Amino acid sequence: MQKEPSCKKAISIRYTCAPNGDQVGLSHYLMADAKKAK
Amino acid sequence: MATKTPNLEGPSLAMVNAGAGPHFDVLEVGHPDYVALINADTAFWVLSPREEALDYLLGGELPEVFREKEARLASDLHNVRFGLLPSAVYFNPTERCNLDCGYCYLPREARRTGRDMEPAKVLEGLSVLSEFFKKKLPEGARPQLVFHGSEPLLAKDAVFQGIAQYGDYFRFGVQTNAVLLDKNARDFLVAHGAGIGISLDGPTAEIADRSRHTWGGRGVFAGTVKVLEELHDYPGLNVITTVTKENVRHLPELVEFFHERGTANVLLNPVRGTQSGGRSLMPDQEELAHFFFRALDRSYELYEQTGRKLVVGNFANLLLGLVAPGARRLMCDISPCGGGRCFFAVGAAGEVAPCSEFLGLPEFHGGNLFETPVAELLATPAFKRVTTRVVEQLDPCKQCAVRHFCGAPCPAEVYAINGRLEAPAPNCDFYASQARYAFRVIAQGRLDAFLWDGWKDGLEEILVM
Repeated sequence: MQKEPSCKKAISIRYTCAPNGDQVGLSHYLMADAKKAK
Repeated sequence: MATKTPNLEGPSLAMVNAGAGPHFDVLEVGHPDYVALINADTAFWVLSPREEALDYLLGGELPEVFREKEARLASDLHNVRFGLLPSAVYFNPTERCNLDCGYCYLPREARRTGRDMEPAKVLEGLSVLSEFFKKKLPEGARPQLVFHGSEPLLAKDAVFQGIAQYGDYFRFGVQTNAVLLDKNARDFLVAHGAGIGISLDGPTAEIADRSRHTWGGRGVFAGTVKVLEELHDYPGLNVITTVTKENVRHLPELVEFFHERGTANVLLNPVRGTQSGGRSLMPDQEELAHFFFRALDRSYELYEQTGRKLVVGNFANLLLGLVAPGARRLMCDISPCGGGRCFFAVGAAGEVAPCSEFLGLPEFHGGNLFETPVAELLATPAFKRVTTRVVEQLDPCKQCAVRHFCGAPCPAEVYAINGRLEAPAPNCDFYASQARYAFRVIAQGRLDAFLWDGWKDGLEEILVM
């Protein structure tokens, strides 16, 4: 059976972090500007 | 999409789901046009138009482009799971609390009559911790130290002395029920740039006071709202709502309530069943999912109407887990969780546990802050039990497509409920539903509306498809 071509496009989004440029928080407390450490 | 039929006699890595080929699961996400194709091991996903999903899976392009980026995707996820250093501490300067919230993760008797840490001992503890972090972290790093509880402002002198003395090193926060957060206390914390977290469980006194009240049963809603309104434009303010069977039906109204008052960040945390009080208040998972998603829908509508966001932090964190796993801020919905590796907790007698949730479970204490070097405490068998708990070893998590968007939390409540750590999340169905909702948000092009402004800052895109 011939399928109709889709007008929708596949979506894939993935970013990676620079070292020490991201943030860590606590589920019992969310601090806006805290940093992770690697 | 044009289908490129792979060579069926060729190498298996050119095809999915057999031999050395990458494994992709298909996940129904409840969107009319899209389904998710997920490589769970790397947390990589594609939202495929429904009618093209089989073409993607059976054609040669998906395995080919995935293979090109697989090592980088895997490394990114591995780093956030195993490559982070401890950089935050919950510090409980007292076991006592002036409230008797039914769901607290600390045992009731300790909260009523427990121990306080003397101011000199708090300062000694901060000295020990600062020495540990200075050796462990890169130069210039500033670890978080959150005075938590029980109610830390019952030990206000000790807390404030600590902030005054170590304010240049630690990023301080205080999680408080706000009963003792008078003007002087607020002014002190704001002047020192300390974060202030307050708890509010409902949009009306009738709802909020069901779970949060004094030992005599008096509610504290009015006082908490007053503080919330006075601090609404303080950038260091955050609000936590613990979601229970008492307030779950009111989450959409609660979102409206917070948005109306200018709140920018809130955590809507489903109650943990670590202690019996919390267990008895856990909402039905289907009901939790329904009202939690209606609350998220409402936050989106309000953003559309006003241009002002109310970010629901725990959901935003799950979204980050999908689009930038290494940028997630909270460490509960990943395995190993952050307990004992990204952060740990210090109790009022100096006992050290992987997380506040474990303070009431002595078998998970590593030892005492004043007796054993911190590095040794973090390496104890008690801590290792938590820091080595991974979804790959759990049933049914090991075969779940969203295992790295969930993490099978929380080990403390899992242990309290099952008597062992090797069990899935008590709210497993809710977390799977939440992942589906997150994929729908992305398919609808609404990602930015649910995330903190500037979430891409410092991130680099990995273009796979």
